[in-house]
Amino acid sequence: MYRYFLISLLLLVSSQLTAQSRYTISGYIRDAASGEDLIGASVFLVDDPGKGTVSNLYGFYSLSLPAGEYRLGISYIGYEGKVLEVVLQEDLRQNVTLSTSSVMVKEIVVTAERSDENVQSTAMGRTELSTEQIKTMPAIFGEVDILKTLQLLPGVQSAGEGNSGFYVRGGGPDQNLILLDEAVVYNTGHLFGFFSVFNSDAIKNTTLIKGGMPAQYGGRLSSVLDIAMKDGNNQEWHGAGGIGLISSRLTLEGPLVKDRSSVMVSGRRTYADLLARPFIKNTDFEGNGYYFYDLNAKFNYRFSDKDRVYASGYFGRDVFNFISPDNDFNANIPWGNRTATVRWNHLFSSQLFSNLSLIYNDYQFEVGSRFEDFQFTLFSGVRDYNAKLDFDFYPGLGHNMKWGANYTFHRFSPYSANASDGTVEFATDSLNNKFAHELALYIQDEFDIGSRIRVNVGLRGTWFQQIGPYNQPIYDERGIPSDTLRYGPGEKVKDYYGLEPRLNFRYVLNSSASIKAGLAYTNQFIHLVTSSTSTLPTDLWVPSSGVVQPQRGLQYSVGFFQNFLDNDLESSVEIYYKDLRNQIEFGESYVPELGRDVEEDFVFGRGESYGAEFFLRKNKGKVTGWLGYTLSYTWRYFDDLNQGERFPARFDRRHDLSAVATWEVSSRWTLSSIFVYGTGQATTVPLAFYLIEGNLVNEYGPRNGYRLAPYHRMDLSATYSPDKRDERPRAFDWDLNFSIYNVYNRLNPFFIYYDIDGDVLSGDLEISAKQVSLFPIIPSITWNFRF
Amino acid sequence: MHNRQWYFPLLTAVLLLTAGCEKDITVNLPQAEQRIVVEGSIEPGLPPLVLLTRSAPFFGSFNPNDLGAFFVRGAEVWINDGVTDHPLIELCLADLPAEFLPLAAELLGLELDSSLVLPDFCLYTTDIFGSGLLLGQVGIRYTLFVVSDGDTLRANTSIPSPVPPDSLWSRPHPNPGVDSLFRLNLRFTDPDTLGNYYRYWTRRYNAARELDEPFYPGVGSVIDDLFFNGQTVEFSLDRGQPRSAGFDFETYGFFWKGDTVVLRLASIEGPVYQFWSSLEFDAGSGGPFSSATSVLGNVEGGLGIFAGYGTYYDTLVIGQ
Repeated sequence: MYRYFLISLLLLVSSQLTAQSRYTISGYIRDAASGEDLIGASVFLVDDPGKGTVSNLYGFYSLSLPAGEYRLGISYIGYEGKVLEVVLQEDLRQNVTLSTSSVMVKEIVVTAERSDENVQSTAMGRTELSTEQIKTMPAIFGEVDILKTLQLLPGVQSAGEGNSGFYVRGGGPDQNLILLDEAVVYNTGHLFGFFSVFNSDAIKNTTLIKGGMPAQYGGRLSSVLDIAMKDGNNQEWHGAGGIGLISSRLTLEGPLVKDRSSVMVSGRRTYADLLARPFIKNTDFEGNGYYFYDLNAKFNYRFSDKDRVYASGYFGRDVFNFISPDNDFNANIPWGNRTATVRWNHLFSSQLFSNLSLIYNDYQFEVGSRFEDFQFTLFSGVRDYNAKLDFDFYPGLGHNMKWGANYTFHRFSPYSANASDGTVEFATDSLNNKFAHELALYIQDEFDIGSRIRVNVGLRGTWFQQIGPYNQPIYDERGIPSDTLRYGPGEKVKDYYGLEPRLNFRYVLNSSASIKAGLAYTNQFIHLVTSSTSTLPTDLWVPSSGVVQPQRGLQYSVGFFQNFLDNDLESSVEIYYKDLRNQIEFGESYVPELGRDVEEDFVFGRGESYGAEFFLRKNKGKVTGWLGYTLSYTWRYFDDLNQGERFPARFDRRHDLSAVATWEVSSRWTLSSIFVYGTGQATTVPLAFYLIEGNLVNEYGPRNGYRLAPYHRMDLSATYSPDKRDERPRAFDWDLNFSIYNVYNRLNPFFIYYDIDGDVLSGDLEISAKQVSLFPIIPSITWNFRF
Repeated sequence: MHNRQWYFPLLTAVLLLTAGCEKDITVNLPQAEQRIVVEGSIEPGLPPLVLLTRSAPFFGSFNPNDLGAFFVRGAEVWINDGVTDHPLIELCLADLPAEFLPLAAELLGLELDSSLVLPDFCLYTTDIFGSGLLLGQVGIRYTLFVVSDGDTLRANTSIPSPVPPDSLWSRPHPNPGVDSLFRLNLRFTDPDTLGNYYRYWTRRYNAARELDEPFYPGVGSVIDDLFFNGQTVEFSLDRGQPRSAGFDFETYGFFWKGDTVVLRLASIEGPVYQFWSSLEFDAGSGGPFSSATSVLGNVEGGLGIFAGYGTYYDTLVIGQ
């Protein structure tokens, strides 16, 4: 089957290459004020808006057209569009700068002629959000959070109350590929996931792809979240920041050499620990503290229009300290991510763009603890070294290709523990580290067939190999390690291959409606398995191995896209079906045990997910926003769980509704509102109890067989800015954001538990079920400034 | 036996966050099927003791304070030792010889005095009045059979060889200012094969303090030898306490000076280890970050455990 697929691909490519002689107009699209590259800006023929292209991740565009005169439209969300009169008689280099719209809620207004990208593109289940758009929305504790905004889109579910973790179309939390300037971010949450690690001040653009993943991405089954950091203003120095209830932020950016080089540095820190310190002095809580911080930095230098380098990095940590009142017990628990990316853009020709990236990323979790004479240190983490080469080729109008390669060297350290208790020393170091190579090669081609059909076809080949040094325990029939198979450094332990066809298809019905279909087959070689109902810093990433097979996923999706009122209103309906193989869970009686490889406690099964997503979005006018509704079913089939019976995944959510509205009341005031409703979370509860040694023991009912109460909530916010009607640039600008989270104080379930008082033998046993809620109504105020 | 203590700070943080946002709710649960629960043990030189109870729904018409409703009466119970079937007889508290009362109380997790006032408590044991006496022996595999109301249950276990400690002593509190509290320390040598598992209990008595406890297992009462296979190791053993007792940072795990402590240390089989390990993990977890851990018993057709304990007893006066 793959052979036919490849031959068809080559035929299609070659047919496009034999086109008549053409000239190419190419260049970069940038923000006029800051010089930032604009990602995903539309470049199109004004007289035939269906024909065009979009700028790539670095703002580069290229259009090859027969000689002639053209009117070229350039548009980008939130910016004034431009029309260029072009006489094309030779190859042209045309850089374009766009200015932000002058309207106050500029972020959501599209002023260019073409704004039907959602109808015209082959992309399905793809959403781009600008940071400015996200910042107008209400936020808990005033902390603007990209990931929480994404949860308001259909098909994306929150991992729980206040949680920034998310599930996409019935996939697990590890099935989202989350990239920050191309570096994988393994753990996206601060404070058990209540805040995301992405400081919105440092972020330029966020793209979520939840279906029809193009071949340039891989390694995860469910979605791609591609987050680009700001490059830094290369025109003049600016700063921005905010003072909120629990954290403050400061960003500085500016040119090192105007038009050529810029730098951006952004930091954020919570200060609950500092504020609490005077109040807990001389109390039982003295000495305890928790805080997190993030640092983003980026530098770029443009040698010429053909060569540019970027270096960017992220460093974030959560730190938890605990000291018992008498100092008998203490703990210090830091965890967090680090990423570093160096990129080199090179333009081989006006039609061939390349990027080489060298990337380092790691995630570490550590515990240092002492209880009297019992000392305990624990470390877990994952570290990648990654090299990536990508080419964008624009052979003709309505035709572009991408190909590339991506190599990653992984090092996994699942729970290396060292402990001492008196004279006994425990050390698991030798058991744990695992190493792996991962390589992917891909090619994808997007082209038009006639005026109505556009196809994006791709193929990704993957190879994964676990290598030594590795000591593989051999277990006897009782499950006791009886021998060890030793692999030397670099020696193959196990390898896997995969071929992943991808196909996206669009058929235009008329100027404002299209039908799309997508198919994506994906392999996932690294896995995160959690025993908890939430994502935690303690969660472990593990590689595929002799025991753990790669997860494999096949997603089909079909969608209908219709715009109304001259593209003022966008609407879509998407239906999807996902078949997930080699899904991983812990066994039902799993007890964490240091020194035992977690993969010995895994059980494997199949997953299935299907649903329909409805989306209506208003982009223009005083009132903007969207309405999203998802009906979905997510099932798991495991021989070793739930007595082999089908059960709902814990993130199975039958109904999920989000409504988002922003109203520009005046040039000073903007109001925003969010309403969400979701079917209650599926959870496992005990149905019965029994007595062992006089104590109550739970007998659990069907897995995820109980639903918590439905989740619903409304948030409001109001943003006040000084009057901007005169549109003069100001040396110092500010706004004040008032947010109310959970306006009607809904006590949403966080978890439930059984409260047991007394005991059976005393004849005074009382059992009651309690629901714990996390966040009541929470007002907050944040002052943001720019200079 | 300490390997979960790093959860405490995380749990504390969660409790601080969630304090005050709690309400009673009604959970509508499907009716759970009542199942027979075995709590059986056999150790060297002693008769088997088998308590048969029923599981009960968490919510419903069942009155959990009706203790009599828990017990399975009139069951047909026997143990096969590989050669012979030994029928067990049902003995109620009133019928029990005095020397069995401490063991019976321990099965129920009770102080001896209070158990005496419970008329309904019955268990199954060897026919101590008859001729087919069955006493536990190291190395023998025993299979338990229970037939009751159409249900047939079956479980097997064996008694592994006891591993006597090399020494047992008490160690003063690390803070010299606290002179009344001591740790119980143990040195022992693990056999040179992987797959040894242990469970321990402590019992305290002190006439001066009018203290006379039954054996209580440690909060984390089981351990395997994955970390110390074949080695001579030293441990601190936390004081056993009723599971309902709280966790007091000041005194948790300590023994008081002058108390006489009896350590009961048992070698156990893997399935017995898994049962207690999963039970204790499930009992110690809860909240948003934990998952349901099914207790893994060894009883076919029912719940619970039939455990062979290769016990060794040692006694120490604390602080001497």
